[in-house]
Order: sequence, then structure tokens, then C-alpha cells
Amino acid sequence: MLHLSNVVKRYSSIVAVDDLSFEASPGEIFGFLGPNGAGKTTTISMIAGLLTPDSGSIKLNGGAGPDQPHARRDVGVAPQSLAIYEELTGSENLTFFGKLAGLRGSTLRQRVAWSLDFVALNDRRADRVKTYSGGMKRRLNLAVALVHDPPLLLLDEPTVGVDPQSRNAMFERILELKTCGKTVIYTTHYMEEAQRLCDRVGIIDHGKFLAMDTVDNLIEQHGGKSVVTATRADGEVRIESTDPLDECIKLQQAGGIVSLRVDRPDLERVFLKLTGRALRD
Amino acid sequence: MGREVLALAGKDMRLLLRDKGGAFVTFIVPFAYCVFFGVILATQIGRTQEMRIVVVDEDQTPRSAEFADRLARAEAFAVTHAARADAIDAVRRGNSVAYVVLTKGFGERLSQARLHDRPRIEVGVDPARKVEAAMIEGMLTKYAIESRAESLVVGNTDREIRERPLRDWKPIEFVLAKVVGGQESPKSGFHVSFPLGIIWGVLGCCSSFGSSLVIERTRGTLSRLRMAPIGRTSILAGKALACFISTFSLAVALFVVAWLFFGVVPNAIGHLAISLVLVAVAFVGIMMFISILGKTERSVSGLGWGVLLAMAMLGGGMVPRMFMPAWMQSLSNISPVKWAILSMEGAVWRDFSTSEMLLPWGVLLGVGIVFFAIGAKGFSWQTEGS
Ligand SMILES: Nc1ncnc2c1ncn2[C@@H]1O[C@H](COP(=O)(O)OP(=O)(O)OP(=O)(O)O)[C@@H](O)[C@H]1O
Ligand SMILES: [Mg+2]
Repeated sequence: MLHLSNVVKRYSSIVAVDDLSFEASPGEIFGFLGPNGAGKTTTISMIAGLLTPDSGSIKLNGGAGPDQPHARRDVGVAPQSLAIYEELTGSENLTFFGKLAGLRGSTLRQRVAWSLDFVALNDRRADRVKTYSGGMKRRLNLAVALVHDPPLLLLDEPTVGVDPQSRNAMFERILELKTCGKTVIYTTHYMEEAQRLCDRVGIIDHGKFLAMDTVDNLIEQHGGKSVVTATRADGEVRIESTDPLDECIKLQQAGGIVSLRVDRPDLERVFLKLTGRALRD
Repeated sequence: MGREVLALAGKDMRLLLRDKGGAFVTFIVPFAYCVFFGVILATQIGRTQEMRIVVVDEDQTPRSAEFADRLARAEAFAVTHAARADAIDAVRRGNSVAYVVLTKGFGERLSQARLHDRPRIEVGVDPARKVEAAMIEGMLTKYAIESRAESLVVGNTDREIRERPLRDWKPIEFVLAKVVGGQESPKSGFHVSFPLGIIWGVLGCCSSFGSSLVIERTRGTLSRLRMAPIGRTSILAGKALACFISTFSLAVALFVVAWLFFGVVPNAIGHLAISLVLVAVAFVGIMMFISILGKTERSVSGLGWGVLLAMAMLGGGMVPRMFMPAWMQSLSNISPVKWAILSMEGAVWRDFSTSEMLLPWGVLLGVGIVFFAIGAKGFSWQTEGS
């Protein structure tokens, strides 16, 4: 479905994407994680045909590059920076972009209704986008990616500023899309999102992959041990262990425990371990 | 390519009309200009409307001189004297409406009583100026009757007067010479002000569509369009189509108002239609050119208006060319606005033939193509941050 090989993109002195290769197949949600400035958006822009790689190749469905207009018919993009017409209503935006993708008549109407439903904006469909809240705009931005029912979805931080209710509804529907055989490239800074949605995750920094695997494998390889924290009257005890249950039982037997907490290794820990704890500029 | 271009243009038209205030101003401001300026011009044109004629006295007798004097005293005429060649030239260049030659023997025939040996006057006038030609003929007839009255009344011995009916008799014989190239003068101030007002409306459309391309870039919707399965040509064609439709419909709407309410009846409606299409084409090209003058909405709008105002100033869009000194009139040839106005005036009151229209039409088409090509080539597709 999507095939990148040895893709490089430079901005004068900055190498934004450095020899990146990966593939994503139908029915797969590929998570794209990395600190600010890691090169995620740059990569997505290249896949969407907005930027041309300095070297390397990108192949979409059927082997055509994103520079070919007909190949872009198969791609839906929710860009990180909102790109919708503020003076048009939600459904006008969707109808317009649907038309550009070649939809018309009843198919177009159905797809517009479906996309509005997907992002739960049906009751605001006839309002101008400039009257939407930030999260609503973000949701409409996602709906535009979906309106022409593309097999490949590039979602660049689609849930920023979206409330937990809508977000959870969106996750369920994205998982539905996956079972329909769509390929999703999903960028986010919320680790629990990636953990919940993604089949595989690539962790990128300075334009390079630091690791790429299933979530479970990443945690197993880079997550380290579980941490058991026990609070007693005289203070706190932290114990690292591969068998936290066993540790808990031992602590319980020793007595005097006020509370017990087990921190299992998770994606966040993997991420921080791989990319370091230093703040990014 | 067709459908997506229509969808793009439809989106732009929707955006334009959504801004009700903006759409209103786009129409109302040029309209106000048309009326305001038309009223002012009416007084100017009324003043110049006494007919300028050149008298060529080839008879050089006291009777012919007296006749010429009579013309000079008439309120309807502003009379100058010249030799025949200069007189013809003056009419050809449009400086005078007509020339009037008092031929050899004019004085003698005027004073004798023979009815059918009439004095001969040659009138040279543009064939298009039928009204003026008829008026001049009428006036000359009137003066000739006055001059001949005494000689005709005093003991007419001519037998012809009894044998022939007098119905078609004229006191003088007219020879009408056609002088091609003589320019019509506008029939009213509105005939001048409406084409000018239309230009201002067209410039407004041109500027706002030029900015709208930049707005698409700064707001990120341009990248959305680029990610859609359409080519760049379609994106620009959609913008051009929307600009064309707005410009053309604005011009048509203003002309309909001019026609219905201000008596500006075009001489050649077919010519006018072609002119309006080509004016729109030219300014769509200029719109595309303007869009590359800056990176931000502000700079494009500022620099764009600068360019448009310069074009308008030079081309007679601010002060009509008829009020410009000769050197400035020839300088105005470099401004597309001049050709736009000329193409409209040619169809409205200058009464251009099709072949005379070809020059302004050709220039407008060329301007459209060249400016569009420059703009499309220089257009920056890169959006910030994506
Ligand atoms: N238009 C541009 N001109 C110059 N440098 C750019 C441009 N766009 C991005 N960069 C640089 O390229 C690098 C990668 O940026 P990119 O936007 O791909 O990061 P990202 O992973 O999407 O970050 P974030 O999580 O903040 O969205 C950064 O160093 C950035 O400064
Ligand atoms: Mg980004």
C-alpha cells in the first residue's frame, strides 16, 4: 500500500528526514512517534505529494508516486496545520473536497453525511467553520481526509484539542476503518493513543528511525522492568522487577504496607528511553 | 479536467458571495463612480458639443465671405478657416466634426435668380455621424434660403419654376464627401463614465482574486488543493475561471444598468460582448500576475493596487484620455486599461468597424495571455510549515 525507501529531505542545513525506509500494508495502523522536529510532518508531506524528496522513492498503491494526481486519489490527509475554508460550512467543505476527488451525485452526498457522522459534527454541518471551536475544526479537518474513502490515510496529530468523548468515538471508528482494510499512518504525541490504536510503531528522531516494531515488542525490548512502589508508614520503597506480582506478595507478607502501586513498562517509557529526556527546542 | 475546475470556481464564487458586504462594495463603488463622474462629465461634454466645423472658402468673393460669416455667427457652430487639405485632416483626426467647402462660383450663383443653377457646397463628414451630417445640411440650407431669398423674390423670370414641382427643390447643391476615421464624440457623460466605472469594478475583482490565491497559501488550503487528485493547472484554471465570471458579470451588470437607466445604448452589441469578454480575459491574466508580487496577503494587495492604479492612471481610468495632453495620450498606449476602455467605447459610441476593433481586442487578448503566463510561471506553490 505504501512503500518508502531511503527517503531524504533537507531544508538547507537541516536534514529533516534522513534515509527513511518503511512499508505499511492494508489493514494496518502504523504509528509515527517522535519529538518535535523529528521529521514526522515532513515525511507525511512527502507521502502526500506536497514535498518532493531530495532522494529516495515513495510508492503508493500500484507503484505510482504521489506526484501523480491520479495516485493521490488513494490518499486522504489530515494535515497538522488545519486546512479548511473558514467561510464555508462544514458540509460545504466536505462537498467541495469530495468533488475534487471525483465524487458526485448521491455517492457524494452519502460520503459527506458519513464523514460528518464519523467526526460527530452532524448537528453543526450547516454552520460556517469559523464559528466552530478548535476541536471541531480539528475534527472537520479529519473528515476531509475521509470523504473520498481513500485506502491510505495520513493523519498528522488528528486528535490535538479534541475532547475525550469525541476522541474515544473517533478511535473506535478508526479501528473500524482498519478492519475495512484501510492503511493508516498515525502521528501523535499521546502515547496511550498509539498504544491503543497502532499495530506497529516507528519511533523517529532527527529524521531517522530509532526503533520500529509492534507495541508489545517495543515494550519488551526497550521498556525495562516493572516498578513496584510500596508506601509504608516510614516511607516509600521502589523495586524494579520482571515479576511484579511476586514482589507485591513478598511486600504484603513483610507487613506495614499502606498502599502498593505497580508501574508496568509502557510506550511512554520506551519513547523517553530512546529519545532521551532532554527538552527539545 | 473540466469538473474539478468548475468545482474550484464554484467554491470561489461561493466565498465571494458569502462576503455580502464585500460583494456589495464590489458593485456599488464602481456604480457610484459611474453616476458621479457621468454627471460631472455631462457639463464638460455639453460644452464641447457645439459643432466644430472648418470652412474652406474656395470662391473668395464677398458673397461667399458673407456666407461664411453667417455660419460663424451661428450658435450651433464653432467655425475655423483652413485650406482644403488641412480641413480634411482636421476632420480625419476628429478635431472637427465636418468641413464645408464653398466651391468656385458659389457667390455668383447665390446672388442670381436661376433656381436650378444652384450654389454648390461640399461637406466632408464621417459617414458614421449621420445625425451631425443631417444637422449641418439643415443649417446650411436655412442660411442659403435666407441669403437667396431676396434674389429669388425680386422678379423671377425663370420658366423652370413653373414647369417643375418645387417639392424637392433645394436652394443649394450638396456634395457629401466621406471622411473615414473621424471620431464620434460621446453622446453623454454616462457614455464615458460607465466604461470607466466598469474598469474600476474590474480592477477591484482583479485585486481581490489576486489576494485570494495568496490567502489560500497562507491559510493552508492551497496545500489541501495540492494534495487533492488534481493537477496544478486545474487549480490555477479554477481561480482564473472564478475571476473571469466575476469580472464579466460585474461588467455586464453595470452595462445593463447603464443601458436601462442612463440611456447608454451600445452601437454594436456584438462588439460590446466580445470586448467585455476580452477585458475580463486581460484582467484575469493581470490577476495571476499580481498574485506573485508578494508573499503575504498584505504585500500582494498593496503592490497589486499600486500596479493597478498606475495602469488606471496612465490608461485614462482616472481622468479620461480626452482630457490628456497629446504626449500623455500616446504614453497611455502601454496601459492595458487604455485598451480596455477603448474596446468598450469602440462598441458603445465610437462606432468602430470590426477591423478597427481588432487592435484593442488583440492587445487585450495578448495582455491576458502574457500576464497569465508570467504569473503562473512565477507562482510559488510552497506553503509554510507543511
Ligand atoms: N519549511 C521549512 N523550512 C525549514 N525547515 C523546516 C521547514 N519545515 C520543517 N523544517 C524543519 O524540519 C525538521 C522536521 O520538521 P517536522 O515538521 O517534520 O517535524 P515534526 O516531527 O512534524 O514535529 P512536530 O512534532 O513538532 O510536529 C525540523 O527541524 C524543522 O525545523
Ligand atoms: Mg509535525
